[in-house]
Amino acid sequence: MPRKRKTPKTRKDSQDALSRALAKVVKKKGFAAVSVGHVTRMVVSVDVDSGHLIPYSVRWDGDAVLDGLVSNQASVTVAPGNHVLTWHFNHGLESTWRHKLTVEPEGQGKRVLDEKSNTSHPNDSVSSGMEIFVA
Amino acid sequence: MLASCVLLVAMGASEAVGQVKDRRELETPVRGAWEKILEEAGAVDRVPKMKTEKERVDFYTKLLDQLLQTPEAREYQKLYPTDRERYLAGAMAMAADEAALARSANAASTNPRSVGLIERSGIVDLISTALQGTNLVSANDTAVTVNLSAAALLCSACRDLALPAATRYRAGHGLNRLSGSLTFGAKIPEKEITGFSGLPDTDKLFDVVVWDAKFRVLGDRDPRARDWDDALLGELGGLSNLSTLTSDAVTRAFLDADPTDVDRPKTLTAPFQSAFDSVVRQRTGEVANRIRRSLQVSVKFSGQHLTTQPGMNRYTGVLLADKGLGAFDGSLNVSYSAVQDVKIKEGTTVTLKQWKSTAGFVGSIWKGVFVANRSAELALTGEAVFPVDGDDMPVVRKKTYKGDLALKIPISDSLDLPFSVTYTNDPNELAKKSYVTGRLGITYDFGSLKRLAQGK
Repeated sequence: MPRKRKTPKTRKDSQDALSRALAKVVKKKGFAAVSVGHVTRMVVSVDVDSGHLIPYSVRWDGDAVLDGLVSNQASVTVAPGNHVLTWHFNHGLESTWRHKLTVEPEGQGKRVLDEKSNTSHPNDSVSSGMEIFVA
Repeated sequence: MLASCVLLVAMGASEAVGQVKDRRELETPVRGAWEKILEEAGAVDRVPKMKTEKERVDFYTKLLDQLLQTPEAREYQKLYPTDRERYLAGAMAMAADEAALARSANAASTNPRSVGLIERSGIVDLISTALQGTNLVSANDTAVTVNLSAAALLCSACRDLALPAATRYRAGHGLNRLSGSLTFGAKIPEKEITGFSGLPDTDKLFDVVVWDAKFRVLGDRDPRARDWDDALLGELGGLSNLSTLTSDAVTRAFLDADPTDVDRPKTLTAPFQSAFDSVVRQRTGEVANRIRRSLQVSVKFSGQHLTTQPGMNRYTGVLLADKGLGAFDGSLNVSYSAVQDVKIKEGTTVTLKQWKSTAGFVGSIWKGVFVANRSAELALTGEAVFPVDGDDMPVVRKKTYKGDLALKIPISDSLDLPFSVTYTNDPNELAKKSYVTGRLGITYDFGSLKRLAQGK
């Protein structure tokens, strides 16, 4: 027997239904937070082209962990709880560019959080993002 | 009262900035200013209730404008000495040394041909051999140009890919100012070699080899140059850092409001990052424009030699200047040239010497008027030639001048309709125009309309 869809009666009902639908879409599109289990350290790596001109920035819980013009990596402390990783790349003055942001929680495999280039994303020379990690 | 508070905050910020050695020292005040703006706007309560992405982006854009106006954010976008050193680590230790092979290039040599092809003073970036079929040659497309950059040839540190691009560039020091090119296989009409259109075989083609050496005297339009550190490392680097700092604060605010829902902050922060990216794109465009339109002055010396017969060696010295002026790019070339052993009459050879001045304004207008995202190109150029002949010159060469107005109107994504109007006192210059009346010549080409009709 098919499940009967509940008809919204008030505006609040409609908003709740919309929120639930949006939450489903968000999860489907990969907006969900990253669960890293019980780890204490994580390596954050940035790989950029040798012609990179404008400093990129990567922050872990608000602290600048990577801020430079060349490929680099840093190890961050992962305490139990929620953590925020934010990043920003600007390739607006480069004709050939690429960047790749990777995290590697201790004892786990690498995860690519952002990877773009002038060939794969010609219109995305400015790129920012964020990820929430749950430990 | 409020004004006094604002003044005190501003004074406090500028006082603090007086002692700042590193941008990171300013992070606490900037974060504080941003958190205050978020709180006063009620962002944590209001953003989740907004129904559309656009509503959220507009809301965040207003808050961002507020932040970027604060003294804290302004100071954060400056370049401090320790930041420069950190970004360009090792720059001071670099030195030019071993020789290296050429790599890549793309620049035209001295082009004696047309007032419409005024030369810019830029120096080729890196080097190599490059086949160039169109830039130099006025008669056909077979010429090959080898472009050389002194820095790329003589500085191995310039190729150490472990260093930042700006550091590598600066390792070349003064060598970055010097470049040159060698072109062979070019066929040039006699009048363009001699600069005199009154010869019997004025359109006869000669095989030539051309070399030139260019030295940049003033300015540098390379974004890796030190001149642009404040803009790239300070302003744009500051914005990159500000983007991650503020994104973190926004995410953290939503996360603190409901620590159990770790998915929701991502959807609520994404519109903020979108708003910030728009600001960064706009500011980056402004910086690029500033670099592209800065003053650059170069001097160049070139030689042009016939390969199949003796005589008519041409030597030229040119001063080249470029500067953005209003909506247009202005260029000025002033040259002095001497062409040796020119046969004016049978049995008589002379050296033709002349000054030549060419000035041009090139710009884009009417963007999106004819074709979406494409502009019409307008070029206004003028040229004057002043012969410097001795007593041995058997004919009288008069001063010639030419004014040219060219307009290229886009009619599709790739096709254009070109028009040009030329006014000159040299009738030989009007010989190949589509329509001539008096000293006025008009050129047009409707071939692209035919191709457009054919769907090409």
